[in-house]
Amino acid sequence: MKRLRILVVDDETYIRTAIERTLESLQFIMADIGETVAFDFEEAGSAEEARDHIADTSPPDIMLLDLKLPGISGIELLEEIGPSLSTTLVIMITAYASIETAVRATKSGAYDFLAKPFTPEELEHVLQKAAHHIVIAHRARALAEEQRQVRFQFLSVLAHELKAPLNAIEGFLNTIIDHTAGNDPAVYEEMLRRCRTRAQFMRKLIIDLLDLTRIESGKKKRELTEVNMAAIARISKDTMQPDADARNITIDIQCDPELSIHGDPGEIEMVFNNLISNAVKYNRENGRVDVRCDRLADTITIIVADTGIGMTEEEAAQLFESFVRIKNEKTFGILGSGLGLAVVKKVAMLYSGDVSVASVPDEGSTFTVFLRDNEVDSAAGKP
Amino acid sequence: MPAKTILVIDDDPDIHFFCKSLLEAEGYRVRSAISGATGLAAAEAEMPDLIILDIMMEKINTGYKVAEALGGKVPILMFSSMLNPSDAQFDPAQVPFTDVISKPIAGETLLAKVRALIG
Repeated sequence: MKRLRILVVDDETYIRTAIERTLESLQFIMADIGETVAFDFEEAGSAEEARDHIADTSPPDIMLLDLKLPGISGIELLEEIGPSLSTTLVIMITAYASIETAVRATKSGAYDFLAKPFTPEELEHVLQKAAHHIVIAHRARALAEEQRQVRFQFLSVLAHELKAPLNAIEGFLNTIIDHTAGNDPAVYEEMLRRCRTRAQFMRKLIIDLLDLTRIESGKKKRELTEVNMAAIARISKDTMQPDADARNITIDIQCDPELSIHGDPGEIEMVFNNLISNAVKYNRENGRVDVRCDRLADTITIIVADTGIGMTEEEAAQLFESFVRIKNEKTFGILGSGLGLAVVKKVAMLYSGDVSVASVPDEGSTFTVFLRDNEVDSAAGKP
Repeated sequence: MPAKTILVIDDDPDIHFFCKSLLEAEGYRVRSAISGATGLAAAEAEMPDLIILDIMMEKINTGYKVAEALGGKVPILMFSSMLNPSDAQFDPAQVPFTDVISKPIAGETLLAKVRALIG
């Protein structure tokens, strides 16, 4: 139940009393929006009193404002304080509303009119409409606020993720320029190498971020065609081969050379790139990466299994969120954007599919992506 | 006199390499911990002369928790790369650190602060 505050501004006591009595037992059950509304009555006998009342408390949800008041008139009050009452719905009470008055009041922000004399039913009708409007507006505001918070959170984390490599790079460069790390040239050389690696991963982070936001916004133009899975898998393997060779990791692809999906080659490549690169990064020396693609009816399955460090169930549960990176002794020193698997999940969802992981610590992880071949149309990505 | 020991607690490997390079060149013994929990354990196993601690590790208040547990027992030099004090779930004024240094770290500043704290 939601309680709305109504400020009744009228110089006639009996009108205020009549309204108060109507409000006492009034309750609207708005089934369409799943909300019940009741009212708290507040009153003022003049515009001046209303002004003070609002200043003392806070703007009410609804103000029933008599047009004709002694001293400052209702419409003058509305013109004066209306702009500061952005969340208050003002309903003018009027005995003889001319078109001019109505126009003037509407311009000043009046929401509705109630003609005097009015029956309790007429009052209820006007209030019901206003209450409905307010509940919807409250919800829209709450949603907008929530979205602002989510955006702020995301940007805060992003700023941190962007600052971390810059901090490292700047720290190293300062040290190299100021020569503050002793006289061993190998130390300075290592610092330069680390600068380069951090810069490369910062670029990767920015690319992943763009991929992610493009997919999320649905703005990325999809180039739909018959995509040969084995060909794309091979491209990804070739990209990761130098890193794999450096640690003697074997990447094996098992995929029917004819297997294809109707989709966007860039999107499919994002899936393979991110999964194979993770499988290499989080692997052990002399490990294996096994990539399997299969079709069952309209569902294409991509399985990427590694022999790496694995993870606990708890770690796996949050893995597909943005900027989630498992941090422990085993992953220390492995760089990543924290966005790769979020990208994989978003792409899978574009194909009415999903991604999951099965993992055993110190034995390895198996990522399974399934994509549906028949549900892809040329429309922009669903969010 | 044995070398003074400094425990660096940070989740960024490059920051460890950075601190180690600078501080070892100055004759300090440097130990590394990569999380709040391992840092706390390392400090309790063998209390260092100084702790260098990143406040923003895996969780925003991890560094704070470590500082709270160790504050008073050992001087703490806090790395602050906080975005904005208002983001933090705690009051930075309440963090029991001895001194603070902001990232990106200037080597000279780091060394000067370490010297001032433990000689």
